[in-house]
Amino acid sequence: MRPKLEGSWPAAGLIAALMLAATSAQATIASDPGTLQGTTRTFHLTATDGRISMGDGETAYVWGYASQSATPGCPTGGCLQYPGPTLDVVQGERVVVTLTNRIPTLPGNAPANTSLLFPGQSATAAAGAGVQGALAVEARPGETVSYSFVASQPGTYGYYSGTRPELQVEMGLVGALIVRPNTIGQAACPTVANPSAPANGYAYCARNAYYDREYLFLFSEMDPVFHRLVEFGQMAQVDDTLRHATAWFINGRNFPDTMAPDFAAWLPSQPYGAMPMMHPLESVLMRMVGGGRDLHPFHTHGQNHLVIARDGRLLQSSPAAGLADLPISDYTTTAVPGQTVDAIWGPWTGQQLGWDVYGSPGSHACSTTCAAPPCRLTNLLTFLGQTGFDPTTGEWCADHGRPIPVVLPAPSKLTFGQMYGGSPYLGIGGEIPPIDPNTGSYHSNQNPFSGLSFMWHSHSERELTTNNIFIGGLATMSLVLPYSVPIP
Amino acid sequence: MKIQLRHLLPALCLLAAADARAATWSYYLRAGTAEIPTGQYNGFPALNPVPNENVLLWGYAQCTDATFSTCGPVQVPGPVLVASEGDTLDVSLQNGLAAPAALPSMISEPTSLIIPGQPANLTPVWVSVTATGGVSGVASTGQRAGGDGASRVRSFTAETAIGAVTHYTFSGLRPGTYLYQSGTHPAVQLQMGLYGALKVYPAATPAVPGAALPARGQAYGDPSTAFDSDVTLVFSEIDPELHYSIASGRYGTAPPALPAPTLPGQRTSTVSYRPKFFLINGQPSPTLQPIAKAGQVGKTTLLRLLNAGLKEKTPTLVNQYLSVIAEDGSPYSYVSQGTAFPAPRQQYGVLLPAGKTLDALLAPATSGNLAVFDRSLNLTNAALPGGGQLAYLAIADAPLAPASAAGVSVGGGKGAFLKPGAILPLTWRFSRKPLVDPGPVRIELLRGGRVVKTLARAVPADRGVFHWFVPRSLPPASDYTVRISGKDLALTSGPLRLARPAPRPFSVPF
Repeated sequence: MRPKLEGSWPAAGLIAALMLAATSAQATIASDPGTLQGTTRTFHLTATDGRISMGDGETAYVWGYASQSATPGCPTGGCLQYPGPTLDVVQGERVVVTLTNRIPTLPGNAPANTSLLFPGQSATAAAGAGVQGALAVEARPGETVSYSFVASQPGTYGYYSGTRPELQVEMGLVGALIVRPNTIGQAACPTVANPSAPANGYAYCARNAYYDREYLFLFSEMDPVFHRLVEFGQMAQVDDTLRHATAWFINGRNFPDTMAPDFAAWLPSQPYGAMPMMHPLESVLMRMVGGGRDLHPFHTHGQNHLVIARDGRLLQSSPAAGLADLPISDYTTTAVPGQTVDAIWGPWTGQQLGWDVYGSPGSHACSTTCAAPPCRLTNLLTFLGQTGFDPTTGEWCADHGRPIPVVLPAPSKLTFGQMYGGSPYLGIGGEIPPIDPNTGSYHSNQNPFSGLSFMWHSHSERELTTNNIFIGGLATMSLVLPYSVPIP
Repeated sequence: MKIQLRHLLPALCLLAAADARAATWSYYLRAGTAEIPTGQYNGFPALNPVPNENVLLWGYAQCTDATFSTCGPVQVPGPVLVASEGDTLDVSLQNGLAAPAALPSMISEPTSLIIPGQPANLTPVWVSVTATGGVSGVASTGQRAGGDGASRVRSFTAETAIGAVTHYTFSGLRPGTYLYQSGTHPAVQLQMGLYGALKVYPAATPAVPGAALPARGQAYGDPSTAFDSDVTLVFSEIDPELHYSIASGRYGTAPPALPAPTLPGQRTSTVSYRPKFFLINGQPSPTLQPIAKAGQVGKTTLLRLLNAGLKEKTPTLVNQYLSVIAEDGSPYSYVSQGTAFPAPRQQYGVLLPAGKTLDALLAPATSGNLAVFDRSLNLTNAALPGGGQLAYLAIADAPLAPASAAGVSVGGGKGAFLKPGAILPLTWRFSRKPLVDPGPVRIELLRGGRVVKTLARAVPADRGVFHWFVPRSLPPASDYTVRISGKDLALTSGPLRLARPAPRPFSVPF
């Protein structure tokens, strides 16, 4: 008997995200498309101040970027966010980013200029405004400086303040830039119709840069003491050499907020989630950006990820290779400050488990041929060159009907983590004690669809805390969900 | 047997030949003390645990010969040593780390010299441990005695006592970029400044003792590693409190009983290492001047990046990519069907952990001061912003900036078409005064990349124009180009097309 599931707030949030996606015409990474006119894409950013919520219940004063673009979480535009908006452009476009300096000069603090760096691009600042700084042309308080470059090569990049960056990046002035290839459909990157993941694509025009779903992982860390000093007008007291980070972030959130959906209403300044979700046989593109100044060894449970590019350049023997022919298979990738890495996690196949991931026989069938058209995975399996899987469920048929070779103790003898779906099987729930005294039902969890969950986290274990509270910090859960569950 | 001999003989010959060529590079280094005056590091006085105290450094001075009587100043990092692949490096090291008169309490130690990555016979020095956990005297040298699990290593190789001189020899040198450093009590001695860079040129473009360095060369024995100039950037840090502990003789003494805090300038170990100054080539920004003649547009600069500090760095460029070719003296490569190929990595930033060396090629796109900064953001001098590990590379303009993208603009309003019997002006121009005077330039007509005619042998470069009478006999072709060349200069025009031969009213050959 399947017990009734009550939604706790994270689960409710997850469901809300799924529903949100159902209304979205083109589901993709949460990003800022700017405004396109001809081949010029323009973004209007304002550097300003605000607050973010930390995983320990504290809030932090931050400086951040606000975009004029409207988002589901900020319909009027102009909302500060951490990290900054993910600038989403297409290869070949001329990108113009205007930066207006609205960093307030709080009583006691010196006025702060600010600027933008776009490593990997040949950015120039428009003449006539700003003042030349150590690394870039800077906007003085109230001033606007315009930077432009041609996004000549696809890939994942970052942008951040080039003015006193040891303080301004710490304060939150950092974001990601995605340049999408303009050559999709060529022989090296043929289009693949995947009805379950219509926003699939390529990070680069290369066969092993294919993804069904893409997620951003911008890593950063903070020393809250510096933020308080700036907030209290004591900026002169900041001694950068005394920095001691105590909070670690993916996309500006600490665990468990990393698992909340994009544009979660209760995280207005931290709109970007970091919970990768996929169906069996789908591949996830991990766009990793070292946003902070420390190293973060990011570790993916479940299986290795294939590193295909670094700093927006494929790992290849020559551009003529047509694919990342010198990739690196790793279960931990070190996020280096300022550096970006693109990696493919997947496809997740369940092929070597030795048991039926969908549960005991009787609940479902498995056929390696298309038994009941339309079979949504046919194209994907052809592209992957895989056989032996059910083209509808993605199940590995050789293990069909085999139970998990473990005798599970009774639920009363177990404790359950937040991500336990109630059974070891994909899409099958079960009893999750104890009984909630308020509702009389079994407790719910953060995995209401009984996906297979894998923790992805920094393996520098102290970074799994937020202000000394475990578990927090630089961690998230990835979910392999059954095909019956649509994914945003 | 015969087969084996046939394989052996050429190898033996090669070895003999290599031995015949191998040279010995002798350097005379004196490890000595220096005090950096107040204010040398921007913001120093306010942050020094003892205000107005100098920062004591240990560094290397280069001396002229074995008498050590004529030496340059003690410097941090030490002098850049140069040698060639297969050669022998012989460093005579004199230990001048006796306490100077002004610092009678300074801790004085034996020292040594090692080069991670280069072959050498090492003779470690072991000290015995006392019942209270201290150390007392040398227990043994070389291989630690069997069953001795208690004595600790103090030096990775033979020590040089105060005032003594020891030869440290490395033969059969490997090409590349290396860090030489103290091999004794490295937790302290490296931090105090006993480190420097070693450049080993490959046999393909060797450096020769007593001769000027090759103007251009290869980083490793492969044409893909060729460079026109090289720049060495040594990253390091300074924790002034540790230096003061050494200068005052308090380093390593027992900490005061709790709850009394540790006195300023009393470091019992490097566990609480907290650097305040972040240096490139011994200087922080903004004291560090732009690195002159670091490169030229259109040319290739080899950046040799070394981290002699204790913390990782992330040297990063703004608006430019590096082609990272080697790490720790090992070129990046991949193997395909049994053959190794170079595998450079295109990155705008590189992770440079402690003790690491990286070689990267830079093809500057624009002239001016190109910033290299630590993206780990050690960009302060103690609490003062606007400092730390930020260097500018002074990039010169190309000697001649082409007047068009093709290099040579073809005048006459006819674009890229040649009209036999007409006069065609070929123009070029300087956009800035060239670094190297190109001298008179030679102008040649090429077809399919091969010279078919010299149009002029010596035209003053700054004239900027040459009027060419296009011969009537010039056969039609679409792959003509014009090349203008001089010293450090080669400009080529875009393709020039001659559609059809001119009518020939006269049969006069040109």
